[in-house]
Amino acid sequence: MDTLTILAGLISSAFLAGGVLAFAGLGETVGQRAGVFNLGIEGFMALGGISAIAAVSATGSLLLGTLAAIGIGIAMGLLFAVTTMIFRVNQVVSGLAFAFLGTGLATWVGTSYAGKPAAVSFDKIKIPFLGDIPFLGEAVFDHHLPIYLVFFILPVALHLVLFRTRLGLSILATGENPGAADATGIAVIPIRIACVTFGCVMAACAGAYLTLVFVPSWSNGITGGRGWIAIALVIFAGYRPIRVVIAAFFFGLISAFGFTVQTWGWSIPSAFLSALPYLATLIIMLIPIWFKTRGKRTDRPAALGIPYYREER
Amino acid sequence: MLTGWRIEKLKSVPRTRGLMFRLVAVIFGLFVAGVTLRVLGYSPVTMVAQALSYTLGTSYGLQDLGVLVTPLLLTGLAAMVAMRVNLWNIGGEGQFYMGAWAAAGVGIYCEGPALVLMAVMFVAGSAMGALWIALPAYAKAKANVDEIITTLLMNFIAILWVGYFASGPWRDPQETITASSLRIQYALPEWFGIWNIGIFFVLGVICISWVLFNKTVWGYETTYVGANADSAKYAGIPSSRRIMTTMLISGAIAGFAGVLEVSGTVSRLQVGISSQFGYLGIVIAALAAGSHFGIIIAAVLMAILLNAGIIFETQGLSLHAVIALTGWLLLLVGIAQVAAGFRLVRVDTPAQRSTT
Repeated sequence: MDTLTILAGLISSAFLAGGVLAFAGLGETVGQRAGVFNLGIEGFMALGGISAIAAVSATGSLLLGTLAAIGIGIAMGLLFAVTTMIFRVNQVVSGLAFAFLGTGLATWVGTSYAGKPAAVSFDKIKIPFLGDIPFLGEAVFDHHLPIYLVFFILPVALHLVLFRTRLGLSILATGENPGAADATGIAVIPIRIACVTFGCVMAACAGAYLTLVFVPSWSNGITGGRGWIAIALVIFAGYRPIRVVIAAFFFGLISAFGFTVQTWGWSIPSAFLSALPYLATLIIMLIPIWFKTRGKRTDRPAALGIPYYREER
Repeated sequence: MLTGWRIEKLKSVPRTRGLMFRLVAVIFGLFVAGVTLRVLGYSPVTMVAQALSYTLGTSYGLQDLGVLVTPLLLTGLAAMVAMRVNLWNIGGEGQFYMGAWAAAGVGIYCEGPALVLMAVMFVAGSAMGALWIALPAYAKAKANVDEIITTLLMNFIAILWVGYFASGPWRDPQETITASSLRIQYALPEWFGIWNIGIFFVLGVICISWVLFNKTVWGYETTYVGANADSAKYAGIPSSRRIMTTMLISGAIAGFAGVLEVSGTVSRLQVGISSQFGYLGIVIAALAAGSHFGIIIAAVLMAILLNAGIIFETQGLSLHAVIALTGWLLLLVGIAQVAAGFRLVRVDTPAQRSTT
């Protein structure tokens, strides 16, 4: 194999591996922009993954599998939203609770599905003309449908909605200063509920992507901390959808590098290669130690993680 | 809607009121879980009766309880100590693994009198636990980097690290089923043939922590930092340093738990040496809500639940159902915590009386 083929394969796998993070990260971005810190991603991802594969093995339909993940995302998302926004439970406690609840439930239910490949999975779609370009075609334009969606269509759409529309402005205002937003007539709590639920649906889709596209099968602990990495990625990417998917791609590249090197049979321990994505995430999280961001303008929503009570405004 | 009633926020929540609410939440949560199991075709009442009579009624059951409660007390305490400075140590799992790793390393490579080596194992394991949280703690104190995610990421690295050693350089060639290290020769003596003396070490650590946080100036200042770091800074308390020290203590406690697991229970370093103890510790700390005595109650409760889960496994109910249950309980306890701060009061005005 020549270098170019290897490189094209590497980029192609980077998209495949990064897709999980892109789905979860985009959802988390919207939720955090509205001021809600959703730590339950890992749990919602696991639930989405298991419901997708269960629906697919029962019906043999990819559409129903995806819809099952979206459905569980909406249901669990609303539950999370109600506990944090209506019952006003601390967002960290609630997020951790859903992370345990989701992974526990999914693994419990998933025991009977573990190890069996998905009955059907998404096919690759080669884009006409573009897919025939020698290097780029293989690397970028020969992928599964969800990959095009999450890397090229959704981030642009979300960027436009967040920064170019009235709805987006309301979401940003809700995350920056809910009191002021409320005073101008923006429905703070409904917006937060909607944004967080969207985030949970996206996390569930990330799970469905894992079990129907990436692996494609279910196994215990399949989410492997990707939900947590996605949260770190959102912070790193400065809460901007397009940067989130770029970061997701780079993380995919690191994982893909790990897989590729393992096939080369170098004497690097596989544990070290598996640890690479976590190490990389940790390093980017720690960047502010060396480069002071204090005083510099950041895009972190000012009211992130702070519950809003109208009567205490 | 409720006419004639109004929800009123309490100015302060009495300790017992908070405790009662959390207790009711746990009982309600267990009840709902029981009903769910019933619907799924299990017979929860018999299962619980079986689990309780085994756990509390037989010496094997008590032994298992001790094996589970020992690490849970410490991981719960580790999470709670971090909460004192208003931080989350989600990395208990990783610190536990690294504590166990250091202890196993000492046990495998060092030779000497058992008592000295045991002491070295405990020091090394606790130090390793503290080291494993040092980077997240430093990043938090210096640049306000979110500690939830950094401590959590360290878990994955620790698990892979231990997995590498247990299945690679330290592997016991005789052990073929699970990847685990050579047997460690130094073990804690048993106590009445049921529990090892580790439980006394644990209770000692809890007592020291209680004195440190409730009876010393240092503890008072640290609690102050947790309540309001900026105001503490004005009062002349070095906030960053207090945060840093407290986090290191939290990591050391979790590392200590790892040492106990290696020296008291497992005697080897294994891939799955922590059965989610680090994560369960967070649930325990949330249940205890800052009280050292609460940690003991919550850890015993969690150990009974886990033990029941192990028994249920023989009846086809996965242990993961118990993990799901802890998430569910954590959620309800969170709600109870908020609910305890409010009360329903009757609005007693003549106008309202005539309308209702």
